[in-house]
Amino acid sequence: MTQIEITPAELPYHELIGLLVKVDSSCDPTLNGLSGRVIDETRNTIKIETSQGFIKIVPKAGTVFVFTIPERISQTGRNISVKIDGNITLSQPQNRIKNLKKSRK
Amino acid sequence: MAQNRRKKNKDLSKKIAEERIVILFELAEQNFKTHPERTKRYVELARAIGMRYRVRLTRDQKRRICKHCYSYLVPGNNCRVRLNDSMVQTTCFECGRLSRYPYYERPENE
Repeated sequence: MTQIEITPAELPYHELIGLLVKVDSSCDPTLNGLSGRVIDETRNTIKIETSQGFIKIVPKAGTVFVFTIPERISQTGRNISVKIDGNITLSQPQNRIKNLKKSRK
Repeated sequence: MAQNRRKKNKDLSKKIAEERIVILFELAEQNFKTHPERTKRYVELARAIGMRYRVRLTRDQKRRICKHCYSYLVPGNNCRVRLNDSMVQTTCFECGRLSRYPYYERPENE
């Protein structure tokens, strides 16, 4: 089995489901500070399950997320927090890897 | 040079696709008992990623999915695995259909 390592640079193109997330800032101020685990993702939204068991659907557009790469799959062996602008993840989950090529041109 | 860069990019995207499939299968396993609907979604995503970037599912991964209804299979829970006629026969309890994979016994003197 291959060893998985996620670097902060490739996180926007990697799997977001299963990661811990916190909403840093959002167009909707009531969502600020929301934290939990990502359980699903669509083209325009991220579904978050909070620790109380609520399920929140957060739009990607105009939101800044802080994702935590768990120590199990991070490069340095420690938890890494990565701030990501939701606007660059605006695409279907299976299409998101394609943005990697666009960004490098 | 330009060609090299393109090739490198392609490798990277395939590598990420493979890793994402592995992660999704792990999540599918974890959520199978508590949230079966999430398991279904994760398998759907894993297959979608595999098809889009032309990454094949590994042999183990392929056998955890029903060939007919694409549901995640856990032996003893929603599928039955039997050996018969040099075939691994897996019956899916979601759709009731049978998938068969050949196996070959090694000669004893080797």
